[in-house]
Amino acid sequence: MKRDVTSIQNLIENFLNNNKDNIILNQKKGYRTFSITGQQLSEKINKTRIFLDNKKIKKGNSIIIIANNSIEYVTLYFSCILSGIIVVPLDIMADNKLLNKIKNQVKPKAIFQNKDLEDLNKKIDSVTGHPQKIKILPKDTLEIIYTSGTTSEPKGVVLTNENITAGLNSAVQTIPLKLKLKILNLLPLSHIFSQVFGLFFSMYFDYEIFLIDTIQSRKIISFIRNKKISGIILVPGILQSLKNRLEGKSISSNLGFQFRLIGVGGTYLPIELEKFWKSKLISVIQGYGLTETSSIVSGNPIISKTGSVGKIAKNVEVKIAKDGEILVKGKNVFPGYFKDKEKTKQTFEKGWFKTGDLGVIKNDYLYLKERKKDIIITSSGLNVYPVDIELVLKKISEIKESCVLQKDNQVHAVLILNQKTNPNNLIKKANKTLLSHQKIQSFSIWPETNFPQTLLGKIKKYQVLEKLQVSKQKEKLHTYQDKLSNIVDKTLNPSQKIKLKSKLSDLGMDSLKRVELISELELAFDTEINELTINQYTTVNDLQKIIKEPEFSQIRFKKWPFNPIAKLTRIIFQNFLFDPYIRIFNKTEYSGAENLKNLSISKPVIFVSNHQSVLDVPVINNILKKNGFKIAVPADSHTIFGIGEKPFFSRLYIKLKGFCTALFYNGYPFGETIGTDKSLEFTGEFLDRGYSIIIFPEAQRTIDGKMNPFKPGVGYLASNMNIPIVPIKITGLYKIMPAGRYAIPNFGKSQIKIGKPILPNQFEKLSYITATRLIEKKVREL
Amino acid sequence: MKIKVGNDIVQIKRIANLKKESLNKIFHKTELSQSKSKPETLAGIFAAKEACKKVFNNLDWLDIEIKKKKNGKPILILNYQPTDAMGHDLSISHDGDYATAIVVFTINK
Repeated sequence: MKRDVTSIQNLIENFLNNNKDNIILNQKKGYRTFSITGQQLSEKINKTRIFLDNKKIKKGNSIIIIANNSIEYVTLYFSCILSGIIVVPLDIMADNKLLNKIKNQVKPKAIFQNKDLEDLNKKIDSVTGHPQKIKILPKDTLEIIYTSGTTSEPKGVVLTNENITAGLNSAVQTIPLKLKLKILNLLPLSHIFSQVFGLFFSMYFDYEIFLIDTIQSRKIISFIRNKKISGIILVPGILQSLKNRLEGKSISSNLGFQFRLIGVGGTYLPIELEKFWKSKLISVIQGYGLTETSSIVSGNPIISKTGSVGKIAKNVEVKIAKDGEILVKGKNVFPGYFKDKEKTKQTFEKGWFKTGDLGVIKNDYLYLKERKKDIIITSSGLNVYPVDIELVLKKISEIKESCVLQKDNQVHAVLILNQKTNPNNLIKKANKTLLSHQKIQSFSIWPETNFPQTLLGKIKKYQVLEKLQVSKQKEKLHTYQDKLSNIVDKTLNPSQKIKLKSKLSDLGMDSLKRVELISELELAFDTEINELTINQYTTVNDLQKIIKEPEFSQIRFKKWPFNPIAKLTRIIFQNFLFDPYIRIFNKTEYSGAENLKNLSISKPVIFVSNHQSVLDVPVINNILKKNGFKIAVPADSHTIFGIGEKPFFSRLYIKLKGFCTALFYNGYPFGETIGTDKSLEFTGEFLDRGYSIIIFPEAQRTIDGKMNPFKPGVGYLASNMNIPIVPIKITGLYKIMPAGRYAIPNFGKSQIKIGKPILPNQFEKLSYITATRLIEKKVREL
Repeated sequence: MKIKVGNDIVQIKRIANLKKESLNKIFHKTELSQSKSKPETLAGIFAAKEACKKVFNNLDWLDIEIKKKKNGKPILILNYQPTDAMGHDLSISHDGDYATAIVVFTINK
């Protein structure tokens, strides 16, 4: 067994030192994944610490971070921990009202949002020197995490270094997973669970950590497969949407055989969901804990008990009170709420922390009966406090009583009405004032005149939910219309009733509303919609077909071209067959090769060339190979790979063409038939693996040697991939192998000119139209 | 030579209410940054794009880029020159709640 961690500072320093040359942290950003080694992160942290020190942000001061997960977030978080600066991480959805309240309480020296983190990353470049070693005591505060709603006074949980260290030590002993894992952390870093398991726990066992900028399940799924992720950390909501997308499909071909581990926490995990994944031989590890207990109270070992939240963690004392409440004691338990002695007093009883949750212990395993702490965690990991929504409902006079709970992963309202009225309108009214993640997604009408209540008048939501689930079969629930017509209704806001046959134009769709409708549908159904498929004649029924998963979404990134046999075949064919054969007919004069020397080979680039013949790729590749570049070639998904091609035999022939392109020159599908998203995903994947791309933006070969105008895809790549573009001009090859000719070329001479690279910062201020123009100009000028 | 003209008018409030996802479908990042996301400016750009789409209906939002010269005069950049279009010009205006734009294309026919 590895030894206990003495402090989080020690853990961070050791982890970075032991992994100087290893990649430790990866972040998907757009279509690229950026990686960082221990050495690089350690340098960034040092610079950030000096930077903060120069800005007079010192030990004991606090800063607020409201940002998405990123390498920059981790850098700042670790820098603060090492310098003793108190971090106050907030949910990205926190609104200004809440932010102001918290600002007043903690008086931060600085607030970092996404943009500030990016700026910080640039600013620290010029910083030099070495940060001072700061002595940090166990009782020093590491962070303050806010757990309260938007309507009540915010409650800040103070966590000391000792708390988090103890929580981590309990976690690693309770769930020892000494394997080399690649862990994808899908939880916001503002959550304790994400910090302890997604960072510290993973660092303790030397895992490679991945962060991602999206919660779209289709993107998560291909990321897990392409990057060979072995485990994920998430909330049940996302796990449910992954299940929805993969149900009835092969898990191993969609996620890969290496994917074996799911760490769930944050909120109640439905048993059916747990069983689904376990039946696919994927281990589901559930734990129980709260912010106040530095995440862990109990956790399941790798062979977990279904339905249980696990064994009581090592060094954590748990006792069940007479009324069933779970009480916790241990070094991992927080000292109190920030500047709130009253609340702190209420939550402790004779040194025991009252969790507010009810449970039982059977054979050392903890089972939750009810979570009294009223909180819903959405699939994106955002906190929704039912009390906020209930307060809004209370103001509507037609509603006598209401309670809000999580049902089928939705924010669900249960209503008791004063009078007969259309509840749909009431919900609509309430949703208008609620924040986007708080909106009520479904509701039901409570059949009795009162809710079941505790002696103190608190609604027993657990019983309400139970009863709703039982009555499901008997009476149809009023779901708040169905998802699609709900979106149509919300975006178009029509005066008439929505029917399946209604034309969208009759429902009030104009060109602006069309854009909004498409954006909403894409978000809700996790898909990509081509704008041209929706016009004024489209009906609601047509929409239903359009949002159904398009055929191309099934197409996955092919990994076989990276197989050693495929690689060897490629080398043999290129060097001993194609190149010598072409050399018989063609003599190429290369110039500008010195421009390649300046590019560091480890970093991929995009080569952009005019298109003259089928010999273009082998002839260009010749010089690139000699300079150490590995290449891949985007090729039309329809005409080369046969995607979207219907007749069987022609499809077979085209597929063979696609296979050969992939085998001999790393060709991959690109273009309209597979959609922008897939095209860019595949490109990013090759670039991440160190392959450079050769692209021919004319999209067709020249007939007379004149260049055709460039298609804008290349500008799109340039502005999205953030890497240098190298222009190349070919002359003469079209005479040697004219378009339409096969097998036997003419004899002749050709030239390849390689231009100076255009660096990514030149594209920053260009739209992709003007970027395309710039690249086209550079190629023409050669 | 033929002349083709397109125009459009839009309520500025509607552009101000657009979500990020929708904005990114209509506007280039350069248009968003150059206008500092001011709704009245974006509404003007929107109207100009819509006016272009009325002349050539196969144009996509992002096939059209509206830039401003130093003197404030807007210029139109198209992704590709539609067949036979020789030249074009546009004018944008806004007042109160509305923004409007007009484009003119000369066609070689």
